[in-house]
Amino acid sequence: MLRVAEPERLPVAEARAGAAAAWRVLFRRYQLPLYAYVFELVRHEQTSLDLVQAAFVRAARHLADLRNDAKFGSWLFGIAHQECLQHFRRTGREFVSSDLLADLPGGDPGPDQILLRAEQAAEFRALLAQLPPPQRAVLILYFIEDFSLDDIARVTDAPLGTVKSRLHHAKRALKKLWEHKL
Amino acid sequence: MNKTPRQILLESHSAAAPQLDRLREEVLVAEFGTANRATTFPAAILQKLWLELIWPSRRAWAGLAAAWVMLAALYLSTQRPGDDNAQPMNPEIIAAWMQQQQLLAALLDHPRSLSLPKDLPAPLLPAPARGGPARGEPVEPVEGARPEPVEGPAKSAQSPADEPSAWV
Repeated sequence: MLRVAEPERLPVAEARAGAAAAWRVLFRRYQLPLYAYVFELVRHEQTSLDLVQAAFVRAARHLADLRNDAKFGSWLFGIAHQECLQHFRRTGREFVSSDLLADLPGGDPGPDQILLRAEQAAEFRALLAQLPPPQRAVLILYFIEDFSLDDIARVTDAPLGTVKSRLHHAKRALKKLWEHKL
Repeated sequence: MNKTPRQILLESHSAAAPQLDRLREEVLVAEFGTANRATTFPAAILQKLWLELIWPSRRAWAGLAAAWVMLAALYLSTQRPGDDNAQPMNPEIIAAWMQQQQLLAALLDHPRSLSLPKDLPAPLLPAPARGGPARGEPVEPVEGARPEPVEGPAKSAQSPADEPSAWV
């Protein structure tokens, strides 16, 4: 899918130089999407806040590891994703599931082309919660930040083929659940 | 009203925004030792302006600056030395101007005893080739020519000094 969009300009270089104001801009930009992502995975409010805070602290301490400033968003989501995995390991929950590799069919609608009525929002989130965590993670990243498949692969630390498969199955499963609900 | 999945997800978690703001400031204080004091310190205000006004549109600002530099360079390149109004005037023009000033002063101060100083530079007014210009005709200044006697208001009462021979 061709994505043509103005790249977002963020003060990553200033943040790397230690400017607290730059970090404030970056955190303010990502705090809500990051929280939404984490919450949809762990399904617990306080735990989600703790994980976001841990992700912010790790990001502030390890920004030197980021090679491409334009990838700050996916890098930060990757840190949050790792925090979620550690949380799952600590609590003995299973995150990884086996996926069948499948290519995405052509002409897939983009995340902004999927429109839901406002009264369907709660149902949408309830159906989203029924997906297996790996599929849910990929689908939320796709929905919430419009990340490319490469970025999603980087965030979830999974091969590109696996990400394609998960996204494909997640969409199909969500559609099936939706039709079943209706 | 239709919404995208992104809108649905973000709106459903918007209630956590105040907690996230507090969490963010706690992290900033812990990691950088700074709280949100942007409104109280000029340096913080300047930094905020830089980050939110200048930095996001840095290419546009750079383009604007480049355009100004180009305009300045163009202006300077079109300035030729001959165009300078402050260039010194030709000495002959200055001499002619001074002569006219002296004549005017003489006419105003001593209309009946008009005479020219002997140390004047070479006269600029031409001698008439034959009979001179008619009365009222403009006299073209010609280099090397002697001036015609100026007809003052006391023309009818000529003094010996008004005679052309008295000028030499």
